[in-house]
Amino acid sequence: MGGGRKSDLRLKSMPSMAPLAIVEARLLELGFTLTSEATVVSDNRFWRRKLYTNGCEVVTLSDEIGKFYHLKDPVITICGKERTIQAIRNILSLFGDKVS
Amino acid sequence: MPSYDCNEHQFVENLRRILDSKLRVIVNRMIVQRDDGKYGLSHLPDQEFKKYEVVAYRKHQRATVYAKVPFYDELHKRLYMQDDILHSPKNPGRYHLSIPYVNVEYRFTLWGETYRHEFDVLYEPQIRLDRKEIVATKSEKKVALIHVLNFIPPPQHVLEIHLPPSTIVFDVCRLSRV
Repeated sequence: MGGGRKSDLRLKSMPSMAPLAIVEARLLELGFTLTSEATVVSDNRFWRRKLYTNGCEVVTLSDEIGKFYHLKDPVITICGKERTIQAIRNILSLFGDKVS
Repeated sequence: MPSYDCNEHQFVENLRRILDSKLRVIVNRMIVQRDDGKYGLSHLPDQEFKKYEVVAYRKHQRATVYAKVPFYDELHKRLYMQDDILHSPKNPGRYHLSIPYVNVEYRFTLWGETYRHEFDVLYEPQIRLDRKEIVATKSEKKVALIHVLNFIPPPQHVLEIHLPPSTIVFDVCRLSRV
């Protein structure tokens, strides 16, 4: 699944209410591997950013850490093929996330 | 020219909309390493502070942080003794074990309006036991086994927002307006 042309890659970012563990499990099923992690500060908030790669496809999961308001707002950013985007979209829709 | 700050989601989605409309866009990326005291141990959320718990303790987030054991900060070449103040949010400049970070800024300009997304990536702490030569008195030095704190820079690919090849990314070091 990781092969193919770089020009087939599309960009998509999705905020999510779904637990990121579910998304991570789906990414592993799709053949992605965890490449690296880092702590990122953005918008005055701390995030744990995980990078999953599969060939030329890259998915970034940013999960907020620390004290946050009643709802966390994890962000999934995909630079990948349409079917990867669709697979993540399907997982999120199970948790009521409507991704355009 | 107006400039708009975006979070990661907004920035990527704005770029996607441009790419979907078949426009090509140049994105400027600025990556700068800093150690200016912006981040100290008391700022860190508990999950992140756990990485320092071998050498530091505090009551809660935003409380004063103290050294749990004597340790040597290899990056700043500084020795801390047990119960030394490492970071105090009320007096941040005085006692400060600062955490270095990489500041990353992405921006693109479309029809005279600039959209930017900025974030900081913290260096990862690495704590090990090592033999260090310590100055005991003016004339005496002794070798002791001591905790050594070092900071590891984040890998390059974590600093990037991965974009399709139809986007051109230029690395820049400074923005100036003429």
